[in-house]
Formats: sequence, structure tokens, C-alpha cells
Amino acid sequence: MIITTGVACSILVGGFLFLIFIRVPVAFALGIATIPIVMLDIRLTPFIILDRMFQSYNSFILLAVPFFLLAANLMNSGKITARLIDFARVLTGWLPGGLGHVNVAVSMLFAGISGSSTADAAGCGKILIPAMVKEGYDTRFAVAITACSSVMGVIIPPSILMVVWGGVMQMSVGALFLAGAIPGLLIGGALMATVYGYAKVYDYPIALKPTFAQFWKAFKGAFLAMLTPVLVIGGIVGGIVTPTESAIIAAAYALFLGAFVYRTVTFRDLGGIFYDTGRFASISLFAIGTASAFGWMLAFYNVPRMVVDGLTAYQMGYVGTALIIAALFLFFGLFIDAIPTIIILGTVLLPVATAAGIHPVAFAIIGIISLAFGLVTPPYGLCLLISAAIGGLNVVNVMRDVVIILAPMLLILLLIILFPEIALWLPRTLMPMTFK
Amino acid sequence: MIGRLLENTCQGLRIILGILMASLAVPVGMQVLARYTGIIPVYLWTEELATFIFVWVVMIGSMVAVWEGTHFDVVVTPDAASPLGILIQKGVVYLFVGVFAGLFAWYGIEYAKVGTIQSSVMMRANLLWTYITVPIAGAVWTVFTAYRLYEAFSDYKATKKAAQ
Repeated sequence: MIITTGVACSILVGGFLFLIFIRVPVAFALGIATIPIVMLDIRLTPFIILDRMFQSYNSFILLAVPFFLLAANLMNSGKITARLIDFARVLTGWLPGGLGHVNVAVSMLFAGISGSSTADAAGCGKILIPAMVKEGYDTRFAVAITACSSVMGVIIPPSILMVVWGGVMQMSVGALFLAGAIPGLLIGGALMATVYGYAKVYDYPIALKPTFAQFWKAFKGAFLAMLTPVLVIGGIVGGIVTPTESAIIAAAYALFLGAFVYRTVTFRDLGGIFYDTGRFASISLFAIGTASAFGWMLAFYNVPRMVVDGLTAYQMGYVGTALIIAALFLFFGLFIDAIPTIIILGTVLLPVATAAGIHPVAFAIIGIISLAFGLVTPPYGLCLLISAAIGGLNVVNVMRDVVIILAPMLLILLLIILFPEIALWLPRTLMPMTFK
Repeated sequence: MIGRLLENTCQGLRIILGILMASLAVPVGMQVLARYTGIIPVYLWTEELATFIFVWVVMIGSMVAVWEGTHFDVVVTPDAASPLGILIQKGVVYLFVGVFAGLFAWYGIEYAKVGTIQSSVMMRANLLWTYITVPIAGAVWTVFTAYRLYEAFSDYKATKKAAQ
């Protein structure tokens, strides 16, 4: 038989939602949802689906993902994260709500090096959550600010999500990296303002201002690590290296610092670091295959065309469409990992964005920031789950603080929707060729 | 006995995964060295080898994650409290994953056969080297999932027996 678009869409989306509701792992749920259609529609064969899935791994650009994760793991294992925290402490630790600001500042520094929010939450959380609790901060606040600040990992360049986005949508990863910089810094500013508000309301401790000697010591300790963004982003934007090459340079540099400069990574540690990286990378990347098969099937039944026609019929204009796009990414981000969402929803919404006159780079930044919020919102908020586990709390107990901290961050997202030049100015200035 | 055998199998996969992840750095690193230092010539096969290893990393990692139960899932319903509830909650998931894994293995054999008649562009390597990961992954997921299902039944029986 030949299945109609409506039936196919119902089986795919309904089946997928049912499967994740009964706790089938997301990567498998995406694959299982395609089975009934392959079995029923005479135009499809299991071979096509297997091939779609398998060929999605045949991508050189995706190799950047495990290497950025490797750089993050090497930083955490090599105590480079601790050096970044020391530097963040002399920069911001003396402000009201000191360690809260340190938490945000170190996430910004970490984000500029690694590109992984989960590695940020795990690496910084292990050190900062116990330290904050010890200094009298509420555990719920410590967990919430760690989780929320870690989302900058995928917004401030380099970013694993931007690498995947660029690979899937055939866009310049360098332009995406540059576009994420100012929104990332604005989100960091919004987080620090929230920490300041908390410090005033709850009378959190204030540390003494550091002496110049203390500042210089911390700066020297973190200086070499902070050169990584120059290597990575400078290399890509300057057209010198590809994203994958920049990722391996970042990992090699982190290894060089850990093994030879700071001497904190030993040969024995490397086995565990490589295994951990491979395991986590493959869990995230395996979903790319099943998501690609799922996304291909939606395209086969013209679902993207249907969505474009449906949304453009309402003539919502630039802002309305951008708001709908952000809302859809925010909603899907609640339930699915960001990478499969990019493959399925991103490709479906790209023509909608284009029809509404949204620049592809602005569309990408709106999508990535919205998906980043999904990292701290249950039921699938990985950074929140990691931070809550470190703090020994149930996610439910932290939700009030997460909502308070997320509110100003959502305002930044709204600002970017209303004024896309916030994201577009930097790539337009430094990479004008991308905008021709 | 079978559980220990499968755990040892998974331990072997973990070791292979670590080695493959480390070896992934070699071809990509060679590309960087060749392009920017000139220490070694530019080898065109490095990109192809890197993607070959990458496919193996993804597939072996997915096998380990099935055994460890670390593939990401979404918890929107409360945990079952009764032994039967726990069995149903876990069992249904294992059944779905097991069926998918079985089909993946079965159709993966045909898919791998296609690999045998194809060669890669640069290395002229037979594509069976990577296509074979599909039936292998399917078969390993099936065995791992079947054992987890068996374990869920055993746990249910043991809990029921202890309650009597």
C-alpha cells in the first residue's frame, strides 16, 4: 500500500512520542517509529532506512564532536578547569554573590575552550557546588546556577551544536561560531545580574578584593589555557583550519598542557579519558543516525513542505515566525537531545525561516539558544541532571531557582529575535563573504 | 555465567572503544601535520580512514551503552513501585529495543553484503569493513537486550519469592 502524508506523520510523530513516554531511549525510539511505515509502504525498504542512517555517520565534520569532547575531558582531568576557576575567582569572586559570579565566569571561559555544556556542568560543578555550599550558599541555588551557566558551553564558540548545525545545513561553522559570541556574552551578563539579585536578597558572602599579586598568579596559571579560543576560533574564522582540524588542535593543546606543562595528566589517565570520550560521543552521535532516518522519512512524505505551507499561510511576519521557531525548539528541547532535534526540526524549519526572511545564521542562533535552554529543563535537561546529582538534590527541588535564573536568559533570546543584528554583526564584519 | 560472559564481552568492547578513540586522532592529526607543517606528505586516505574509525566508534559505543543502559531516555512517568510494575516498565522497553535490534541485525546482513561489492575511493578498501558494523551492532544489541530482559524476569521472580 501507499501511505498518505497524514497517516505517515501520525505514525512517525505519534509513535515516537508514545515510545519516549514509555521510556524507550530516544535514539532507539526514533528508529523504531519508522518500522511500521517501512513495513506498510511498498515504496520503502529497510535497506533505504539503514543506508540513510549509516551514511549520516560518513561525515568528516562530525569528527569534530568527539575531539571537542576530548579537549573538555582533558581539561577536567588535567585540572585545567581548576586553574580557570582560580582566575574567575580573582576576576569576579569579590562581587556580591562571589562564587555565583565565579560559576558564571568560569563557564564563559570553559565555553570558549570546549564547546560542551555537559562537560562544563560536570567539570565545574564538581568543584564549585561543594565550594558554594561550604561558603553558605543554598544548595538549590548552587545547583541551579551551575546548570544554567553551563548552557553557555554550546552558545559561546566553539560549540558542538554549531558544528552539527553547520554540517547538517551546509552552513559556515566559522560564521556560526562568531554569531554565538555576543549572544553568549549577553547571557553571561544576564546570569551575573541574576546572581547579584540573589546575593542582595539572601545576603550571600562577599570575599575580599584580590591583590595584584593574587590576580597575576591566577592570570599566569590560566593564561595558556585561555589561548585555546584564539587557536580554535581564530583558525576557523581565518580560514586556516577546518572545524574538525580545530577540534583536534584544541584536544592536542589540552593534552600538551596537561601532560607536559602542568604535568597533571599521566599516560595511565589517557586510557580512561579516551574511553569516556568515545562512550559519551557515541551515545550522542548514534542518535544522529536514527534521527537522520526519521528526518528523511518526514521529508519523503513532504511533511516539511506541509509545515512551511501551514505556517506561511498565517503570514506571521518576521517576528511571529521567529517566535514560533524559538517556541518549537524550546518545546522539543524539553524532550529530545539537541543533536537529533537539529536534524529533524532544524531541517524542517529552515525553509519556514527563509520564507519569513530570517537570515540562516540568525535562524541557527535562535535554534541553538532555544535548544540550549532544553539542557536545563526537565525531563531531558542533561546539565540540570548532572548538577543536581553533584549537589545530591532531586531535580524538582531546584526548579524554582532554575525558572528564576532562566527568565532573564529568555529575555536575551527575545532580544536576539527582535534585533538579529546582535548575532549577525560580528560574522558580517569579520566574514563578509559568508553574507554575499 | 552468561551474565559474566557478556560483562567480559562488554569490557572487551570498552577497551576497543578507548583504543579506537585514541587511534582516531592519528589520521586527523596526520592531516593537520601534513597541511600545516609539511613534516609528512599530504595523504588523501587519512580523511577516509578517519570516517571508517568514526563509524566503528559510534557503533561500538552504542553497544556498550545498551549493556550499561546509558542511552538517553526521558522520564515523564513515575517509577513503578510493585515488582510486576517494574517488570512491565522495564520489559516493554527491552522488547521494543530488542525487536529493533533483531531487525537491524537481520536486514544488516543484506546491507553488509552490498558493502562487499563496493570499494572506497581513496584507500580502495572493501566497504564491508564499515558496513559490517550494522549487523554486528544489531546482533550485540539483541543479545545484550535479551539478557537484560531475562534479568528483569529473574528479579521479578526473586522479589515475588522473597515476599511469599
